Amino acid sequence: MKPYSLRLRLVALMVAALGAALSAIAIFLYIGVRDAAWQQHDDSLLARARALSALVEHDEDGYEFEAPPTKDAFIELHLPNGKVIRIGEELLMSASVSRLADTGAPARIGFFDIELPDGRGGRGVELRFKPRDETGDAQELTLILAEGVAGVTKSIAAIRNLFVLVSLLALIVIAALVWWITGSALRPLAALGRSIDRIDDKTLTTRIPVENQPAELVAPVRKLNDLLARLETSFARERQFTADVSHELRTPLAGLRTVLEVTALADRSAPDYKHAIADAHAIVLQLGAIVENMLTLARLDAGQLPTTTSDVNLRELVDDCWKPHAAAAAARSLTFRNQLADTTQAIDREKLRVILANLLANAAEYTEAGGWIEVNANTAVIAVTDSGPALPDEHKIFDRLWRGDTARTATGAHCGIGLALARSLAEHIGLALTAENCSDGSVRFALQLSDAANLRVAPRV
Amino acid sequence: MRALVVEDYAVLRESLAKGLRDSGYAVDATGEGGEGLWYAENHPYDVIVLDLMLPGLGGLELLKKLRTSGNTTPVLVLTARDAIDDRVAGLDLGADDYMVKPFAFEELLARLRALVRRRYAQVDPIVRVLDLEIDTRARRVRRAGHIVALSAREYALLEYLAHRVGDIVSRTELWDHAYDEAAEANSNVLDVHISHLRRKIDDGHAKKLIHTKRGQGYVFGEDR
Repeated sequence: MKPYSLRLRLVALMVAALGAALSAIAIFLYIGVRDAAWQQHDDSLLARARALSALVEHDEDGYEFEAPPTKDAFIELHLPNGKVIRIGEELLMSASVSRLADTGAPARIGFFDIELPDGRGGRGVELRFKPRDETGDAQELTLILAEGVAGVTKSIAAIRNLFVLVSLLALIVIAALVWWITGSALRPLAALGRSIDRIDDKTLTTRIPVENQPAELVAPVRKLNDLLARLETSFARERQFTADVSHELRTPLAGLRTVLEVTALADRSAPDYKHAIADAHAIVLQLGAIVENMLTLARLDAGQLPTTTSDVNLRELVDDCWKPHAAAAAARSLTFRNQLADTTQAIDREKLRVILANLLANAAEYTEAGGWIEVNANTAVIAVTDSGPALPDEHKIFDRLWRGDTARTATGAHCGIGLALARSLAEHIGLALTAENCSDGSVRFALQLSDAANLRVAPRV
Repeated sequence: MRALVVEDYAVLRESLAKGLRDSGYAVDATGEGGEGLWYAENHPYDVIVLDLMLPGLGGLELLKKLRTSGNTTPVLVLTARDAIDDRVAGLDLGADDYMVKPFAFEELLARLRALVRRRYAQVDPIVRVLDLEIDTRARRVRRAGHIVALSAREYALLEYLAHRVGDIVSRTELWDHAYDEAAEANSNVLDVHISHLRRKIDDGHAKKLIHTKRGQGYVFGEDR
C-alpha cells in the first residue's frame, strides 16, 4: 500500500475548508448584491409610477391621464368605475389588483413579478393614489406599471458568474499557496528524512542536530539520537567483543602453529619432540578452556543454563579449584590460605566451581610475586583476597575481555572473560560478585547473597 | 643475519627464536617492551620481529621511539588484531611489514628475507659473487656449480659477507650480525668459523673470495 502523503492530505483539507468558507462568503455576497439590485430596480420602478400618477388629474370631466409615450413599459390605470386606461397591451394582472384591493390594508404599494404579454419576464408595481383634484370628490385610483427585467437579470447573472469565476480562481491560488506553504513547513521533516537515510551501520556516530529543528521535531529527534547512541554502543561492544575474541584465540593459535611448523622444519631429537608436544598440548588445553568459558557465557546469555543445588563443602571445593594453580603459584612464592570452615552449604556446585576457578586463576596470575592469597568467609559467602597490586578499575574488570593491563596477551585460561563469566554465573545462582581495593593495598573479591550485596554492587556496564 | 624477537607469549617467542636460529639467524628474544627497545638500540639487528601487544612498553610505542631515535632496522610487526586501523597504525609508525596471527612460519621467513634484501639493496634472492651462488631461500651455497655444505654459523657469516661484497667488514660487525647474545664472546670462535668457511669456499679455487685486511677486518669478493 502506498503511504498517504501528509502534504497532499494537508492541501486537500485546507482547500476543502477554505473553499467552503469562500463559497459561503461568495453566496452571501451574491445574495446581498442581487437583493440590492432588485431593491434599486423596484425603487426606480416606484419612482416612475409615482411620476406617472402625478400626471392623473380629476376634474368635472372625470379622470384625465396624459401619459407620455413609453417604450418597453406597460401601464394600466384602473378607474373606480372599473374602466381601465391602458397604455401598451393588457397585462392580465387583475388578480394582483384585486389582491391589493382585498386586503384593504394601509399598504398602498405592491410589487410583483409578472410574465409580460410578449412572454418576457417582468416586474411590476401597483400604486394606489389620489389624483390631483379640482372637484374635491376624486376617488382612489390604482396605477400599475410593469416592464421587462432583462437588464437586471442579465447584470445579476453577470455578477453571479463573476463571483463563481473569482471563487474558483481564488481556490486555485489558495491550493497553490497551501501546497507551497505545506512544502516549506514540511521541509524540516524531509531534511530529517534525508539525514536518517544517510545513517547506516558505519555512520552510527552521526547525531542529528537538535538546534535547527522545529519545536515539534525536537522530541522525536532527541529520541532518535538516544536510539542511535544505544545502537552505536552496542555495535561497538559487539565489534570489540568479536575483535577481542579473535585476538584471544589468535595468539594461542599462532603459538600452536609456530611450535608445530618450527618443529617440522628439521629432524629433531626425541627430547625436542617431547618438548614441542608438551607445548602444543598446553596450548590446546588453554584454547579449550577459552572456548569453554566463552560457550558457558554464551549459553548463560541465552538462558540455557539450569541451576541444580546440592550440599557442597566449600572448603573442599576451594582446595579443588586451587590445585591447578598451586605449582605455578609456588614458583612465584605466593602463599595460599584457605580459611573456610569445614561445613556444607546448599549451592550450585558446578557454577560455583567455575566462579572460584576464575577468581583463583585471576589471583594466581596477577598477585605480585611473594604475596599471599586468602579465601575466607568474612562478611561474605566466600571472599578471595590477595595482597595486590590494586585493581586499576574495580568496575571495569568485570567487562568482557577487559584487561587491567591492555598489553597482556592470553597467558591464562581465564583470558579476559573469566571475571565477566564469574559475575554472570554468580548472578545466575543468586550471588553478587564485587571487587574492592582495600585500604591496606589488598584486593578483595567477595561473593555475597544478592539481597545483602545489592547496595554495594557496582552497576553492570 | 641477526634478528630480534619481541613477543610476550613465551611459547611463541621461544619457538620463533628456535625456528629463526634453525634458519640461520642469530636471534635475541625478549618478552618485554622496554627490554626490547634496549636490545634494538644497542645491537645492530638486520631485522626485528615485533609483537604489538606487550606488557610495559607497547609495541607501537617501542616502534615510535625506535624510529624517532633514527634507527632504520627493518621491523616486521606481528598482531593478533586484523583491524585495518591496527595495521595502518603500525605501518605509519615505521613498520616495514606486518603479519596477522596465526601466520605460516615459512611466510614469516620469506618476508624477513625480503626485508633483509631490501636493507642491503639486494634484489635477487640468489646472491652471486664470481662463481659462488648463495640461494638465500634454501640457504644453499654452490661454488663453481658444486654444492658446498656449511654449518649454520658458517652460512650466517658467508651470507652477511656476501651482502656486503666489496666492503671492509670489521670483526666486530661480523660478530654483531652473525652471533647473538647467547654466543660466548670470544674472538677465537670467529677465527675458527672464518677459517672453516675459507677452507670450504676457497680451497681448490684459483680465485679466493675471503680476504683478510690486517687490523681492519675482512673483504669479500674478487681481489683487487
